Amino acid sequence: MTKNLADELQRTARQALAGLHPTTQGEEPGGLPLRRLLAAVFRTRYLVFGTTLFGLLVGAFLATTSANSYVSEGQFLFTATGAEQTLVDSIRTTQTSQETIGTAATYILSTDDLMKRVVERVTPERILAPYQPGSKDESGVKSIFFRIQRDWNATQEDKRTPEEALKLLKRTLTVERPRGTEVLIARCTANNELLAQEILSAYMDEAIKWHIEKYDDEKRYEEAKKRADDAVVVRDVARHALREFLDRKANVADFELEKKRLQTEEIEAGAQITKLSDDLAIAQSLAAEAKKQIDGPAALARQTMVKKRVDGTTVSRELMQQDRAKRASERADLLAKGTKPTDPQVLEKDRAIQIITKDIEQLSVEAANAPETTVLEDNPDFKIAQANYSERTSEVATLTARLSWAKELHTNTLANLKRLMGLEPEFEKLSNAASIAEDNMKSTHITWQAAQQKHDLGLGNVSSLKKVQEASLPLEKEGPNRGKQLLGGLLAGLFLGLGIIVLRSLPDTVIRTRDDLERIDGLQVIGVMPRLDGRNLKRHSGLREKGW
Amino acid sequence: MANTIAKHDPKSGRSEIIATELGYLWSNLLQRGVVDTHRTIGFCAIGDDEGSNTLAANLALFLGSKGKRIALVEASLREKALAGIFQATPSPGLAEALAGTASLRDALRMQVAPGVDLVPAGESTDPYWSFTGERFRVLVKEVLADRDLCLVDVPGLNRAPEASLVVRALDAVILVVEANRHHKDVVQRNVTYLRSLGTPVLGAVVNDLVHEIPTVVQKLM
Repeated sequence: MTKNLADELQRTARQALAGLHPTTQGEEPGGLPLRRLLAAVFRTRYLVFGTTLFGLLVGAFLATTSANSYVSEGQFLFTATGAEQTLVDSIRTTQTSQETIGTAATYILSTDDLMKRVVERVTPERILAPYQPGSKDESGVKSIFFRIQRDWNATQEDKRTPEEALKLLKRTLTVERPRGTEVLIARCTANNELLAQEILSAYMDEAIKWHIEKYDDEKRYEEAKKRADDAVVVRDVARHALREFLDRKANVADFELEKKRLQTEEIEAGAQITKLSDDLAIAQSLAAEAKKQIDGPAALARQTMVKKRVDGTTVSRELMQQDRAKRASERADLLAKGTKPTDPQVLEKDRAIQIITKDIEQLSVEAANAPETTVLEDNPDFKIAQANYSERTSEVATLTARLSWAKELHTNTLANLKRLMGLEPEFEKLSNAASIAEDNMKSTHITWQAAQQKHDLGLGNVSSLKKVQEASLPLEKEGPNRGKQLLGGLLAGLFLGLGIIVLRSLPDTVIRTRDDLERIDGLQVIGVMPRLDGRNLKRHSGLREKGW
Repeated sequence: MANTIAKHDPKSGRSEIIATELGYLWSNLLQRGVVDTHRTIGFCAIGDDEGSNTLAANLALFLGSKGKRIALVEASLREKALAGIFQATPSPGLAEALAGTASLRDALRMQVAPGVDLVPAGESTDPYWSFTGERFRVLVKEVLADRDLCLVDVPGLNRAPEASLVVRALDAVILVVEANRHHKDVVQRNVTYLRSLGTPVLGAVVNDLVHEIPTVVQKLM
């Protein structure tokens, strides 16, 4: 049995016992066809050489043109004492942890506004300063090398803008916080060691200021106080405006009370007018009745005839009584002066008084015994009717005056009420403003009290940012590693070539080997003829010896 | 053409390798009843210039050198090569014999190599029409009268419509596939086509095989 026939029998047996016989290495189903890939690699080796060379060239280009980079490093100490407590926040309160605040700090310190400050401070011209490698004394290859680097990394003058500088800083300035520490490490990469230090130094200064301005709680404390004070001022202004309005425009002490009072008064005045009108009508009717008794055909007589005694002593008696009173007065004066009652002057007075008294008594008897005569006298009923009429007339006048006054009062009240109603929107506006200002004042006052409490308890400063290491001056360049760039380019090119080969080989169905042909259904390979090439024949012999 | 006739070159070892591979091929053919039941064997390729004529010529030389009487018939009238390889007069050949303008004796080049008689393609204006009759089958039988085996170079299946006529006149056929040329589905289609013609397909020979993986790497695998 020939070797070829033995191979064929073995393959037949493999087909019959599919799955029981181990598959040839590199031909495992589902895996990468190793032999096929290897064969493809060696077949398209020039492509691999080409891509590798390309990668090497790219690496060489990068190694030649890459500018040196220097890294300056500085450190902040970030503390977040009392972070577990509620933050003093005039707007809202937040609960957070130290870890979260620490992580947030790294983001906060990378904000555009902070970077812009650094750009303003260092200036775009300085940040985007042209790259100047080496000294000007170099010659030969080195000078060419440095010249290429200078030209390639040159920044045009019109592109040295704040925007470009900001973009560069965002790439080159980094802040990171090692886990579990309170230290923030800031790094700045630049093509010049002094520039790196300068930028980082400026950044660290600005970051401290930035933190104090934006996130330090001392500021929040002051802010809460200011808000409380401002709220009081606003409240006072609102109150004053309301008072001015009431005093000068509305002329009332209490708008609502006055409105209510006027409304009540207006209703009362209306009722009074109605009542007075009724009373007046009645009084006028009674006055008309009274007038009929003193005037007109049915009127009472003014005088009537009556019989009575005529007393003619009345005048004499009155004169005598005056004289007696005069003499009695004189006697009293004498006694007052110390004159004795037995004095002749006093006795004379006593005698005169007795004579006058007797005369008066005599005249009284005469008057009582005088004869009766008919006399014309005024009618008392008429007088009563006249008085009644006068009283009714007076009542009508009074009621008329009261009605007039009541009407005037009603008119005035109504006018005042209308005026107040017209001012009501303005009053409500001012009143609301005052009310809101009052509420706001109370709210800010509560916040301020809370801030004071925290401040007194030492819980006010939630975070602080301090420099613990100034921006360092880089002692040696950080990069680039030109050897790594070359090697990286080479490897990248190599893997690019290999990748292309893999992508091309996997779907490849071209018959390239004996095995490929044997996979065709119902076709058996009964012979192979190698290409007549010295190396190929040698490999062929080797495979034959190995037994395929 | 992929392979040329192997020349003896002890240093390169080329002839030994080719002889070895031809030996393997012959062994496989014997296993499949060649000489006993199949005496007219066609070497058929899918396209042009895949080395089917060279393989037929090499096998003829190999068998002739081993004492067999071999007739080598070039039925590929469109791509003639064997007369040049064996440095024989190109015409009259098979085309003239099929057309009846020459006898088989005239068409045969006797002993172009030890044990090998050649019928070159000759000159034909209409290769397809030459094979439409039974003349080719008769000629092949005549050639076999006093020879052990008749090896026929069949024109490419995808290049010449007369290929099927040639194949149907033979006892068996071998498919010659040049490596790194055809896709699997193309070969599969042609195999199916060959089987549909009714002539037994003894198997396939990979020609111009290239081993891409270096020996050192091969040993490591």
